[in-house]
Amino acid sequence: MAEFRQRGQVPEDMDKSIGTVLSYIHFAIPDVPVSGPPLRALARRRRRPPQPPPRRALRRIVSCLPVKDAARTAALSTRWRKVWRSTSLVLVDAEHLPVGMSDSDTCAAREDAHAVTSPPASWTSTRACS
Amino acid sequence: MAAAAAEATTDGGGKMIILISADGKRFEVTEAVASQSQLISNMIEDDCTENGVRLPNVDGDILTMVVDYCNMHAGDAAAAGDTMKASSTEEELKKFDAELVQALENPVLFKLILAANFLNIKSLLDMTCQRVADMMSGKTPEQMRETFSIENDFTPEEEAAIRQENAWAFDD
Repeated sequence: MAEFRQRGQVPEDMDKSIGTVLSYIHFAIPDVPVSGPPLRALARRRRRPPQPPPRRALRRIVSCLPVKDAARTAALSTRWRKVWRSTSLVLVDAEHLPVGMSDSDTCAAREDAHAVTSPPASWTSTRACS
Repeated sequence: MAAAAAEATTDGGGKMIILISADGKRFEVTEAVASQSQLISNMIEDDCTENGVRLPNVDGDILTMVVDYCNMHAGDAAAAGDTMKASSTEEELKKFDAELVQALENPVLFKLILAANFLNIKSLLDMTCQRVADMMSGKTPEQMRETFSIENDFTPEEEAAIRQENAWAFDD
């Protein structure tokens, strides 16, 4: 400031030029980085991929399939594989249902069977029918 | 106006409930229709439907189908006492259900499954899942993935191991 005065310049001018310099600096500074979660939320809003069906629905779908088709779903993706692993024993049992039962009956029976006798995780290794 | 409608009652004596979709569409239905959804049924019991029920993850076009479905099926319980009526509507219902799911593109079918799951409408969830099962039946995993846009997140080794493990299912 004193130096400015010594040169015979007006202090207010210095304020203006400092303001100009600061505005350049502000312009050049990169934006504040956005942290992970908001950025992900933004990406979601821009391009919302179709939501996959919930596990409950996948279990229902698998339990309505003929056993062979149901077993093939294990090779679809990791998610489907988990579903197959949690329903496989019941499906195997469902094969032995009376032949006369309609598709919808067997589907309902499998659902019920699954609800009652959901196999413990350790059982999956005993899938000897394969 | 919405509040007035929410308080309104029908000739049938059922209170009306306003359902509001994610995109702001409003649907006015009777309690009997809405309570096929276990979620809404619980809300009715807890008296928290006065200002309408917001369904932030159900789009208007999907909610239209759900409301149509519930409207059609609301008569189920009422008709149960009347054998003649029940038998005549059963045919109609079957036809309606079949037409509803068969006309759907797969992405819409999945949205309907999500809505049925969220609203907890068991019969609609059963029906839509059965439809997917019917479409998957007899297909190879590749065809299933293609039909339903399922992303294969296995490594080739993992997939080979799974096929080996369930070889009996792949030996056509």
